[in-house]
Order: sequence, then C-alpha cells, then structure tokens
Amino acid sequence: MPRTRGASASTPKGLNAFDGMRGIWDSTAMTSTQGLVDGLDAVVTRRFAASGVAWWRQTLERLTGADPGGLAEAFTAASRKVGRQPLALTADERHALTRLGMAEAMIDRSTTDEAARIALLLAVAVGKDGLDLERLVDDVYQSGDNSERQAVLRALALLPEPERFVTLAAEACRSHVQPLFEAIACENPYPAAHFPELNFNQMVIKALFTGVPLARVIGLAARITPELVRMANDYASERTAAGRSVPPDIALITSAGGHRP
Amino acid sequence: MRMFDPHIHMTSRTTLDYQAMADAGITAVVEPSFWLGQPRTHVGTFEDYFRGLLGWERFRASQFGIHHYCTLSINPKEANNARVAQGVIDLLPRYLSKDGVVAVGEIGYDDMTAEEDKYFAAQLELAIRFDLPALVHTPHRDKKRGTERTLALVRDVGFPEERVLVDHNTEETLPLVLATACWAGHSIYPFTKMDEARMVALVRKYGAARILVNSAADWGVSDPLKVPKTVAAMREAGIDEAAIETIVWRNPVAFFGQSGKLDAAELEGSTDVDQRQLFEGNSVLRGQTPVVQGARKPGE
Ligand SMILES: [Zn+2]
Repeated sequence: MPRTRGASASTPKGLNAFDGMRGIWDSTAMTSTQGLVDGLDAVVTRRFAASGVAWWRQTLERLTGADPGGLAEAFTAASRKVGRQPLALTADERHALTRLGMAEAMIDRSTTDEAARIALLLAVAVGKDGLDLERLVDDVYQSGDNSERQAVLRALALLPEPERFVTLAAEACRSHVQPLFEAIACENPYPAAHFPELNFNQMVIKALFTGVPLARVIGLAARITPELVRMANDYASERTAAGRSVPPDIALITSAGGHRP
Repeated sequence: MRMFDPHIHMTSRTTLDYQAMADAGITAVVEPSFWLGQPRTHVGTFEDYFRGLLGWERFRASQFGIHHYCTLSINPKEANNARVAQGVIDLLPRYLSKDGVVAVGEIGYDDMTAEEDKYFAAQLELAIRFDLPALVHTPHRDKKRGTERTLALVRDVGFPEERVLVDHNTEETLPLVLATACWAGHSIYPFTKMDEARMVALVRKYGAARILVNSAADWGVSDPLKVPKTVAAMREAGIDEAAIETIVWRNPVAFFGQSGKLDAAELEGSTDVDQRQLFEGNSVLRGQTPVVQGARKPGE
C-alpha cells in the first residue's frame, strides 16, 4: 500500500472542525495536540507514585522541547515507571479526555502505561516542523513489544495528519497477535476514519472470524457498503456449509443494506 | 501406510513432532516458506530463513527418516510489506533452482490487495522461469471470492493449471478448483479450516483425483499428525485403501514430481537415519543415545 503522506501534506491545516467520533481535533492541530498532552499528563501524574513524578516531568519536558531524543527509551520505560493498572478515570477526568477528542470506549479500557505512552508520542509531535514523525512512530512500533505496539496503535488517531499512518495500521490488522489486532480494530476510531474500503472490510471480517463482537468496532454503521454486506453474507454461507454456527451480530452488517462508498 | 504431508511448517515444530510423525508413517514432507507470525523488517531475515529450510531443517528431518522438501516465496501477507517484498523477489532466483525446492510457494492472496496481485503474478512468472509448479494459499477471509480470483489470475498469467496446487480448500471452494485442471489441497486443523469428518464427506462426494490433505501445522494451534488421523478417519468410513493412498501419497508425489526434483526411487526408500551425524557441528540430540538405521530398500 502506498504511503499517503503526499496527499495529506497538501491538505491545508485547519479545514477540519472537531470531530469527536474520529478523535481528531483540528483547526489548530498544534494546540489540540498540546491540549491532549496536558490532559493525559494530568491523568497520568495523579497515578504516579511520588518517586516517579520527577522522571515523568523531565521526560515530558524533554520530548516536548526541540530535540525529541530518547523517545524509544522513555516509551519502553513508561510501564515500569507508572505501572500497568486500569486507568479507572474519575467522571471529571473522563469528561476532560473525551472533550479533547479521545474515544470514550478507548479510555474506559485504557491503562496507566498506555495513557503515558500516548502522551509521550503526542509530546514529540507538538510543534516540531520538519520532524519525520512517520519514521519515529514506525520505529517505536517495530521495535516495541506487544504492549508498546498497542499503545502506538491507540495513539494513531490522535496524532497530527493521522492519515499518514494507514500503512502501519493496516499491517497491525494482519497480525495474528490478537491483542494487537484488537488494539486497532476495537474501541479505536482510526480505521473508520482513515482506512480505505478494502482494509476496513478485511478488518471487519477478521473481527467476525476471530470472535470479536462487532459492537466494539467504532464507526462500523457508517462504513457498511454493499461489498461489506456481500463479504459478510459469503462468510455466513461458508460457516453454514462447514456445519458451523454463524455469529449473531453479523446481522449488524447483513441487515444494514450498505451505503454507497 | 507411508504418507506424505505436503504442507507443514517444521521450523516451528520440535524433534518430538518429527519422531511422532515418523512413527505414524510419514516419510516425506513439503515445507512451504511462510511468515513468522509477525512481519519481518529486513530482507536478510528471509535469506537466512531460506537457507535454514534448505540446510538445517532438511538435516533435522533426515535424522528421523523423513524426506524434507520446501517451496520458497514471499508469502501473501508480507507481499504487502514494502520494506521487504521486492527484495525477496530479487533474492528468489538465487534459491529456486536448488535441490529440494519443489515449487514456488506459498503465494496467493490474503487481503486481496493490489500488492498481492502484483507479487502473486510476479512469482508465477518466476515459477515459469524456473520450471517449477506453484503452491497457492487461499485466504482465510472472503475465501470463495479469493479462490475465484486465484483461478482467474492463474488463467490470466497463462500458467499451466495442472502445475498449480490450490490449498486450504473448503466445501465451497473445492468444486471451483476441481472445475479447472488445478490440484486441491485441504488443511486439516483442530478448530478452523477443515476437519477429518468434513474431509471424509468431501472424498465421498468428489473422489481422490487431484485431492491432497495436509496438516498445515505451524506455530499456531495445529497438529502434525493430521494426515495419519485423516487416513484413519477415511479408513473407518470405508473409503478404499487405493483411494486413500492416492490422496496421501501418489497425488503429492505426482504434483511435486513436476519439479523434476523428487527422486521416486529415493522417496520409496527411507533416508539413512544416523543421528550421530552433525550439521555444521550441531546435532539434534540433547544427550540421548543416537539411533542408527540402514536405509530401507524400495519395497522392503
Ligand atoms: Zn502454510
């Protein structure tokens, strides 16, 4: 799949209004990224043991500054520093993060290390012209363990010009590591907002195939096309021919008819 | 009965599996190159993988009396990986002509992208150039459409159908494949793809001609004894011995024999099991007493 950078680079910033569904807050992309960093910073800081806060402050300041050196190391270290507990947000925190454009379903499942890692990636993206964010994100992803990779996938929709990460996200959909697949396919607004039809359809059929409830796919209803309906019907027929059960939530697709893409 | 598992990823299995396979009557395997569960990021790791299939893995199999052959390719999933795909295509000519490489494969479709089209066709061209048959994987998702598209591409490229083995068939795809001159493989898996009882029903309905079964065992939930287990199920269902032997021996030998690299006489005998042998200084033994058996002569 070709990288989509060329297309996105020519799109002037500021055309998109806030779109909570897609998790994009644009118009001034820089400000929104900074806003997200601040929002996540507040949440993460409250969950640090006192001993870890100094490291967090220092790291975040360094990455937000001109030289984003040490992203990969900090990204890896984050889970040991802040722990891997469920975020367990207060109502106020939850409200603040969703207002910043994060998907509710995603933050409700998030953990402290994941939130910290998303904040670190966003911090690097703040106001650095000429930074090859694509390469940086790809490097953190490729060298990451499964939980690091999940955090990268959870961050994609929030990064500036997110459409440039389609190749990476589509690769994650091909993974046999189920938690990785679910990190992009479930509770994540990225695929519905940015995937071409082929990749989106393959992801949805794989969700059916691996027993993932379709209700976890954000934005599915708006992306149902006649082709996806055809694929879902064929899948039901294949299961029936093999003497196997058909997942009942397939009706979310097959009874929808399908919009023209 | 001697058996042939024409699709198994031994690299991800242990010597205990080799021993169990040999005990169950498997004397030959084809190991298609495939992906490792997560995408590779360097072309060099493919080259070492190919060398491992031709070297260490072949030796390991021979230590259990099993003839090991392989097929080489960029697999359908990683055809989408721009970091490596073209590099692997450039690497293949160096390895396709080697002894023991009995087809180009597994190639075919996964997501059915434009890249997959491109590398599928390119590798069929390589198979023509190196006078090899092709082992074609069919996708897990959207399988029927994927199979139709596979057969259409084979036709478009002008690749001889009788030199194509279309693998991982189901009730819905087998009639499509048999309507062409291609061969049809079936992967018998514990939970997905195809099971023994369904396979018996397919053999009852379609017979044995151009039909193969394999375990497709790899690092996933899979069973390297699925070929002997399917033989047992077919026997129990009253399918005659000649038909069973066609499916688990004559067909794979005939199909991969088209490479000119399956020596029938060699296959009929067994490999010399001499576990005292070393491969580049390494033994498969971990403190056990080595087994030494003379080669059986054909018909023995
Ligand atoms: Zn395979």
